[in-house]
Amino acid sequence: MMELPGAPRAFWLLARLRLLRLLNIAGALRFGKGRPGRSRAPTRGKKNVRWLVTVLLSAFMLFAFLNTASTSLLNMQCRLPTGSHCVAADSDAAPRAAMRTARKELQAAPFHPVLMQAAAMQASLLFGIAFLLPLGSRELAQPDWDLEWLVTLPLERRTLLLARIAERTLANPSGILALWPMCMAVAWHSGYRWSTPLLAAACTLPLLACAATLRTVADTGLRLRLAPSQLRNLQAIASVASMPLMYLAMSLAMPTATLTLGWAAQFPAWALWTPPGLALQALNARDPLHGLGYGTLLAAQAAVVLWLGVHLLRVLLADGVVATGSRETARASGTRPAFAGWALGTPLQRRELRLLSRDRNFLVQSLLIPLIIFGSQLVLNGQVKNMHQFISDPALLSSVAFGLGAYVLMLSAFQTINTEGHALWLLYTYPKSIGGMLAEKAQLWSVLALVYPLSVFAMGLWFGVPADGRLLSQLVLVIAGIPVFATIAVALGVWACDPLAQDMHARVRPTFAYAYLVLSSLYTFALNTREWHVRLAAIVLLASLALSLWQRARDSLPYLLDPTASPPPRVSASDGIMAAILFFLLQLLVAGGMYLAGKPLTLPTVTLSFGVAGALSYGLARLIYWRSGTSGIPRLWNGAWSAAWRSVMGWGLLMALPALAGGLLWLAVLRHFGAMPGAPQPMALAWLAPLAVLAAPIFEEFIFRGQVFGGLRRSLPAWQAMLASAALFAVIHPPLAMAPVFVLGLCTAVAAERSKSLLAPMLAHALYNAGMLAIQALGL
Amino acid sequence: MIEFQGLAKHYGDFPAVQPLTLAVQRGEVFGFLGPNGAGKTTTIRMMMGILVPSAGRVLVNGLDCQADAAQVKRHVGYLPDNPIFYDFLRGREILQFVAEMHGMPRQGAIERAAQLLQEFGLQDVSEEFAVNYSMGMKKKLGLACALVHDPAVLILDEPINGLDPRAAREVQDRLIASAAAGKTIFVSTHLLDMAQRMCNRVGIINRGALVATGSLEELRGASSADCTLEELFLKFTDEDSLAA
Repeated sequence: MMELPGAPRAFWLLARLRLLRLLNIAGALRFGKGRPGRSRAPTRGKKNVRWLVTVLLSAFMLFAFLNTASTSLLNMQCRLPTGSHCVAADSDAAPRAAMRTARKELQAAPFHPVLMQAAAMQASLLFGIAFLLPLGSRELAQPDWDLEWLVTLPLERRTLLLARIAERTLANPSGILALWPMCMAVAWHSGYRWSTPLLAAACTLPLLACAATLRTVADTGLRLRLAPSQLRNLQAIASVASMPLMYLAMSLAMPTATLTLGWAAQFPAWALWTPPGLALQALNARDPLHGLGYGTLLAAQAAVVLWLGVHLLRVLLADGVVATGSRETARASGTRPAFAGWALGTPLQRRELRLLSRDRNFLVQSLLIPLIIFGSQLVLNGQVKNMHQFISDPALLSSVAFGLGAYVLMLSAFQTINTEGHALWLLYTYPKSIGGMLAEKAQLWSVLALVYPLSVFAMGLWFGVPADGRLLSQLVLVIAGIPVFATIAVALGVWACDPLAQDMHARVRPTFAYAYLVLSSLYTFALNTREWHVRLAAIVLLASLALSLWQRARDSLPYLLDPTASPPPRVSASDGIMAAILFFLLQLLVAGGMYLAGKPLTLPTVTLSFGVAGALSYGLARLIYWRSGTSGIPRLWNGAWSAAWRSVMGWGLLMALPALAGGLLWLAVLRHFGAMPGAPQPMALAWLAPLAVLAAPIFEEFIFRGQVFGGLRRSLPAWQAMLASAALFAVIHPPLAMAPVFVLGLCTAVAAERSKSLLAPMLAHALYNAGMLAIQALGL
Repeated sequence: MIEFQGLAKHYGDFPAVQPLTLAVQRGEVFGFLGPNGAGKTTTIRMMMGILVPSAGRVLVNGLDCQADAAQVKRHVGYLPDNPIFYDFLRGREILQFVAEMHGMPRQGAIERAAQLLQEFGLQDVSEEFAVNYSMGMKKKLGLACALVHDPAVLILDEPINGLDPRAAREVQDRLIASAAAGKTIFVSTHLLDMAQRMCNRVGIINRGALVATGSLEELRGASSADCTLEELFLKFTDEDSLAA
């Protein structure tokens, strides 16, 4: 008979299995071709740079948390009755000086008892996060449970449980991010230098082990004792409860958070003898002997927790490890008469609502969490001292209203592919386009998300915000923004979601969530600004971005369940938006470079930077299209030149006329109101003429008619693509020129559509610019 | 009715399905046989538009399964090898939902769902959440979903794999009845007695390539007479003879 592996070896085998799995997940890091042989290589996923983003993001988050932890220590030292002198240094006027004083005080002597108590509160909160956040992940309510497989191995149950706890100690990224930076900040301010990360890690590890033990008792043990519905409640509570803890811990870094700072000062002193408190004491002890003593005590406590936990688990698992069922049974004694009365929305929308009403987690995650996050931020940060300040400012009111709606969308519409889960295949069996079905879901979620901003506005009115034109315009903007962001969320969700991923946390790719947050903050910025043209530009830009993202998402829908293939490259409106942004940035870069090289910003340098930036972005776009074999690249003329020139000339000349007429009309209007810009100088004309007649038509037509209009035309009727591309073209111009440029954008889009070429709109654009320049130069 | 035109699929360098050209006639029950991992499911997923072909195309009723994916689904009912349903929904609700998605009015969907649940013997569990169903119940519910809109073509991936003998026989009888009613059935399996009983014609696929097609008699004629389908299958999928 074969000898069974001993406990250490079994421990190592289990750990190695986990490690191997993690390495395979990070398979993108492997560059080799693998072992040659008959076996096929593991199927490669789609190309992405996720691992790089993950590394960068983790580094960034570690740094941000370290900074928060350090700031909160200094803040507590200053604001609590610790006898610090930094308050005397008037921290409002010179926060840096105050912080410097606090830093010196912390390093000079062991922390003041009040500060230690406050820090113990923070450490306890962070410990709570390290325990609750992983518990709140959806794993708890998952039917698949690998312990059922692991117990079939010939191992002692204790070994198995210890291995599981060990694995969860190390593989707890949120716990590491919560506790390690906090320990590092304490060690650093206690005077340690390069040994800080190591010492902090040594104190973090026992805390993580305690958290892992608690978590394992909670999910592995309770899973057998609790009914599935109770389990789901528990998970929902855990995910909800961890949020205020996080904000509570973070608010200690804010000088304004008087409420939480007060609680921190009152925190009981015995907390210093619990594991989080002992970690603080060990790191803050000023002589090695004391430090070691506290550290040993911490390790001993962790060992006791571990022993108790494993013992408890063995008792809980005494009757076997198979849970009763994944889902509570719904068998009714008799069949219910089906309800065939009124029905709202489409079948898909009704199904979504039904799921929402039954899946408590889904309900909490998508509709309740945003309220809690916003609520705790408003209350705990102490930034909103009273309701009066909040409601008297329509900009703040609408920012909160929109932010809440956008956040609901991120947790709902953004996840729309993931809510289908493993049943995604069903969508492929219906006689409808997947894009159409996603649009139905986007509609539903924008209606649900609208409830939040509307309630905020109603609340504002209730508390007495004047119902004037400003409030009305803000309301309209917020209401218009929600469907736009529902579209953006669903579109980004198509790339962000991976419903078939084994790991719960791998089902959303964070990059796209951050992109969504950045875009929504752009809209919030537009809501806050009073410059009408900035608002208009932001709104048009985001609306066209929504359109183009939707288009790209639709392109990739047939590939949703394909493990390796990606859609073939085609020209899309999003290319045009990116090219326009690149064009703009390059102009700034070239002009800035010349300015730094000693050339003042005169018309010649501006012209030169426009030309160089245009040529570069034009060349780059062409190069990328050529290299990737993109289809649908805009053509200068359609078919043989001998046949095409007539249509180019005809449509170019014909469409220049209405554009010029629009320009003349606009000039007349401006002159009437006395807003006419001055005529250009003759010298300037020599520079303006080639810019306006040559460079601008070529580059702008390529981007706005070739890429944007051509891209949109792929999925929109001609008139809609014309309007959208002309609006985008108009808003990147100075406010005074927007109206005539919009007309020009429409005319050139007609020329591009009818002649199926770029030369015709380029000609119309050149004629328009030449005509307008001549009229202004001649002072007509 | 179903026409494969050089349909192929690669996963990176791995050729999962090599160019496949094949026609299945209207009213035919075509068995798509092959060992595990031969490319059967990949082929079927391309028919359903779940995977995008690397080359070639497949037509159902003259419609391209990729370009006209939505239209194709009007004529097609599909049962995957492992049907997973929405969590938190009862069997009856899922069936009603699928019927409504195929354009049935609400009342019609309710009646149709009740009728199919009765036919498949699922009325006892119609109020249970479908995720709690046993494998056999899930397959039956999947088949009911595939039949709910009375399609002309059925595409079935291992329909009786994992079913107990009684359930397997019920499903087979049901399929034979559908075939008798004039439906075209494309069924993948590695269960040869089922293929022998049901199929007019079979195709054997091995390592992504179609190695033989024809009725049982035609395949027998290609080799020594009077051998069973099992012997034919083993012969056509023999690794050593392929390597030779």
